[in-house]
Amino acid sequence: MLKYENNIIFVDLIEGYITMLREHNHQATLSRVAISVLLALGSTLAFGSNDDPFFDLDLQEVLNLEITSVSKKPQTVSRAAAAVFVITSDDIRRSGASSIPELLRMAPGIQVGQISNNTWGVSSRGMDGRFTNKLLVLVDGRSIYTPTFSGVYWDVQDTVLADIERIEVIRGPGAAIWGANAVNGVINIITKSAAATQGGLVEASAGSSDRGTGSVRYGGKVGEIGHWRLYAKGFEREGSLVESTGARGNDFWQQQRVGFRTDLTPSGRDAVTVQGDFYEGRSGESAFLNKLSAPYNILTGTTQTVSGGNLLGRWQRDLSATDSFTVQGYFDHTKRDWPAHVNEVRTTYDVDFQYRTKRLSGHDLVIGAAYRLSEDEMSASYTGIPSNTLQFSTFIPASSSTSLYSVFIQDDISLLPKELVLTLGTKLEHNDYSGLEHQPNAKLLWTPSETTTLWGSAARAVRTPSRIDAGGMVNQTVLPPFTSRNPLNLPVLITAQGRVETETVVAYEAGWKQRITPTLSTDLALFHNRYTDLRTGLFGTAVCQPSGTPVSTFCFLAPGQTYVQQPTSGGNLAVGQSYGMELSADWRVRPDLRFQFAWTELRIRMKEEPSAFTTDREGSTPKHQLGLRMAWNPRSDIDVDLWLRHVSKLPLIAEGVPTVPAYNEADIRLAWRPSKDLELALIGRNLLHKRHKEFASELLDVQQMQIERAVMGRLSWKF
Amino acid sequence: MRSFRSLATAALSAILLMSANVWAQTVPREERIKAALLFKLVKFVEWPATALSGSAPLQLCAFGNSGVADALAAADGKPARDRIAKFRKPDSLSANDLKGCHVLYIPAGTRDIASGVPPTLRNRGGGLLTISDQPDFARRGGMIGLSQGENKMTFEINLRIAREAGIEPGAPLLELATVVD
Repeated sequence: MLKYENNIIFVDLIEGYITMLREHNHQATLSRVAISVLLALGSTLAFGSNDDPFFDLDLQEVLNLEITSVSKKPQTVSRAAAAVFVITSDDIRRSGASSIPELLRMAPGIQVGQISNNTWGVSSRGMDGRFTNKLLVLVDGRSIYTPTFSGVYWDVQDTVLADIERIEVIRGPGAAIWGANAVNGVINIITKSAAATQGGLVEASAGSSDRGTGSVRYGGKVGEIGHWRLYAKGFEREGSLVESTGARGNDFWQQQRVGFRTDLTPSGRDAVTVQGDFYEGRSGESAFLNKLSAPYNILTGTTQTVSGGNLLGRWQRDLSATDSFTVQGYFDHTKRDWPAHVNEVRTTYDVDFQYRTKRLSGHDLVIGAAYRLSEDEMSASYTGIPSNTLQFSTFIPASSSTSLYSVFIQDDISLLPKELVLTLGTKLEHNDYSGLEHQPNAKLLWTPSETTTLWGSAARAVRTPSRIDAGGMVNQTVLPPFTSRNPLNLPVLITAQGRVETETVVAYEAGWKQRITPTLSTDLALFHNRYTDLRTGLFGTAVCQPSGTPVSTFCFLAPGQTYVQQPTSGGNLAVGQSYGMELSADWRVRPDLRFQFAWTELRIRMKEEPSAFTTDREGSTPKHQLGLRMAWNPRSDIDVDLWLRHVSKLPLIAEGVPTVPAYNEADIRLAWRPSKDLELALIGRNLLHKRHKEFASELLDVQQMQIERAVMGRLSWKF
Repeated sequence: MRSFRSLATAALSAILLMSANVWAQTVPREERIKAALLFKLVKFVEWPATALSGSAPLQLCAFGNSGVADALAAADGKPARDRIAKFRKPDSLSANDLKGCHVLYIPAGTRDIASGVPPTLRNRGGGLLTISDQPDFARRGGMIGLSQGENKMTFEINLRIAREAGIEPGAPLLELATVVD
């Protein structure tokens, strides 16, 4: 670069003289010459001594150079025509987080509300809840979105966090590729290949809410054709605090899991991955249960027993320079005995095929087809609770087998080579509840230079009915007699039943990614979503039970009546709009100091038909979220990490949940590596408050909890 | 007017100078290490006589823009093996643009290698050593894949593919690398 740049400048200098001689215009050319001289001088200063000392080392010494971890993420501006944020393995290590939902707080546009120490509401672009239904989540290509209630059982999603390669957080619809329920976003959790996890890793931690976490991972070779790894992990965590009493909650969390991954390259053009996990554990809850006799509402600790396993195989083959295909299949089995909710057994089989070709000049075409079979068995769960407790959910029929098949096509069309790419795609998906759904997407990507990316997108995506939507009954809550919300002499039971159809979004997005300097880059995304047919409940006529006569007849005074039922019927009677902005910035001030900033603004407006209420509450979404992370290495063997967060207030998560005030929190991690194989870390989480409330379950099935400040120590040893 | 112009000139020069300085100082360490590793690897590789003959310079090519390319540019003119290294940035991965390259660095994330290395980059006996930090590069048709180990740089060699191209990695290199095929 030294020679090259100087040559250009030298040419410039000569040109300056020539111009001067030709034009006799001393004024203009003198300044031009001055610039040239200055530049030449400057570049000599800058590059002249730019003999990188690394070039003088020998190969072994180069391999021994420590990479300060701050520069892990490539500094090139992303070329994706989507609002993508990547959480790297380095971000994961430096966050000090001990669960996947905590990691997701890094991404702009993502809302993570901790309900208890083992339950989170995680959403993209608003509408957060325990049963968030518009965010699709995949682990190594396996969907972990449950079709039972919709949403993700976050308490059973885990692995050795150090084995995660990256988490891709894509806000906005991803349905044209990933299919239904990728309405507001897709999260792809991608673990490292077995080759990247060779040797041993032992991690252990303990602290104020962590009674003990331990994991062991070991990786080796499969002859000459590939690698494997095995891991085992177990942990036990304490509950948080019950807001109303200040007592320790029952939301303990205990789990053990084992898993493996094998990556083989039987030939230069084949890549085969086989992986699997098995887990079992218990997730406690400080439950809020209901019954129709005094005391009506019971605050009690319950314990969910969970277990599951999965096995996935993937084969990628390069057919030629332009063509390749991927075949993937998996099996996933989960069991959850959830007192007062459901005793659920679910088995999912999924096969997926993708073919990619660049045979047509200017086109990058991907076509795919997929089939999924999901079988479940649902029954009531009275484990550890009285038999007259109302079940929150009843599924009709008790067991079902549903299939989903889909085809998709996506083409990247280069309108101007390397500069302007038009992406057109659509997915046609058939499900047993709502039939055929089409989910098209058009995107335009413009990269006028290496440092600038501009993009725009329009897409349609759907959320298909979940099991509870398609034939379920919900007992939401019981209002005791003679209370502020129920002046009657009988308890009021609020129920929901009815068929909910597909919800639809049409989303418009635009984004600008810019590398401002080689060390500072920004990513801005703007969006406008228009939702139709959102799920609602519609208040029906309150009736006395068991007589079934309307309350307006004063039946509650008649003898023999035990409760008043306020039915609501499920439907799709709301529309909504949201607008938002997400800005992230990444600034590597020095090789040893990096700042990452995330800012989210979001406004949602729902419009319901008279007497209907939407289950996608405006008030469960904060208007503003801010995050700032600092990663500093005062010495190459010491990490200092700071993470500041602001979340504005949540006015109404659900009827009956008081406003959750805005909060600021801070996490700190200090780590020291006495040798290259050993790391000791001290982690402080939620340091600004002794306790704070973050979120609540919209089903009102969990007591309001407060999350405590936590301090823990962690040891990582590689061998 | 005149003073305005000289002020503007001075300001412009200052900005240019500063930006040049910032750029030079801030090629991330990891990228510099990769560039140095790449430069040092060359010493232990034998090219076919058809590809490297006489006293022709050893051409180090870096595709696209990357920190590695910026750092590697400084190797231009340095002695490498028994000749001089020459740094070059090819415009594309076409055979024409790559003519003369002995080493080709392709930065991770480059679209052309997203689904494996195209056969045009592994001509039999072609003598082009492909290096990338794309994950699993050496497992997907590339020759040398750079990756981050325990806070250090490590590399994988696909011996079969290298040999097919007429390139013979020396024993010291194979000792330090993970040989994947």
